[in-house]
Amino acid sequence: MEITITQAASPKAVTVMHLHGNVDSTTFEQFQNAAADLIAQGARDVVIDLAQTPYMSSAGLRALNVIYNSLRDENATRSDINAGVVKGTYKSPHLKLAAPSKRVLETLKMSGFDMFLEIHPNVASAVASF
Amino acid sequence: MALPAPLRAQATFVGSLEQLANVRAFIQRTASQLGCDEQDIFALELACDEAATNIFNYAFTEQTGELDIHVWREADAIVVTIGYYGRAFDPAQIPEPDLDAPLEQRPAGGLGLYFMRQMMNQVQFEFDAVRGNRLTMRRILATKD
Repeated sequence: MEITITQAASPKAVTVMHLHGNVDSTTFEQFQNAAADLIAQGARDVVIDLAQTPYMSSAGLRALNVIYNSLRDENATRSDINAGVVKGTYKSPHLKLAAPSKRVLETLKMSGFDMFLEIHPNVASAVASF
Repeated sequence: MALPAPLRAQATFVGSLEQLANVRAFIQRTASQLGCDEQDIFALELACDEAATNIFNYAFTEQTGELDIHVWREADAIVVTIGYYGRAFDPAQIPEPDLDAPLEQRPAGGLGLYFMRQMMNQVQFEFDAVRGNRLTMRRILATKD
């Protein structure tokens, strides 16, 4: 899998990871490690561009879970997040997804990840939402 | 006159996770030949990917192993069996994921068996150290002909 990185300003600095290929148990670590490197270099707001990812297994969700945790807002209190989760309004303010295929969207929904991650139809809309 | 499409297919995959794309391609091709629609093909592909990943990651004591996959069509269903020699486990001991829990409170991973059960109408494990283990998965097809 190839991963390309672009930066956007929305006006916040947003890092966009463009995944090229399927995310399964052979590629999820590459995805997870690339995100960890970006976060270590200071990325705080990240969009994952899935337009070129036809397929994602549970391994990809595992990577998204780890990335989500790494970008968690230190200032958000447990009660804020829990209240939002109960109301169904909490979504990560730092990790957003763009342009998933129908199949990838199905795995996101089946695992309930769509409750915690904003899913945008394209990168421009995801970037503009920060 | 064209011969009728075969109603079953078999393939053997030797190795480890690098075989995963080949397993998916075989399932995709076979399911299509057996008359599955796009949704059924995706379901079979995902369930077999998760099953093969678990076997490659957890069942084999060596670095590599062998999966013997059979796929056949019944009137209203597709059945996949995966035969292999390896470590047994108790599926009842695998916890169901809590899908309402916030992501930060979830253990990363642990969705493979859940996906298999979501995609398939039947998921059955049989463990036999002598004759080999067998995983049987059956999906009732969305479209029947």
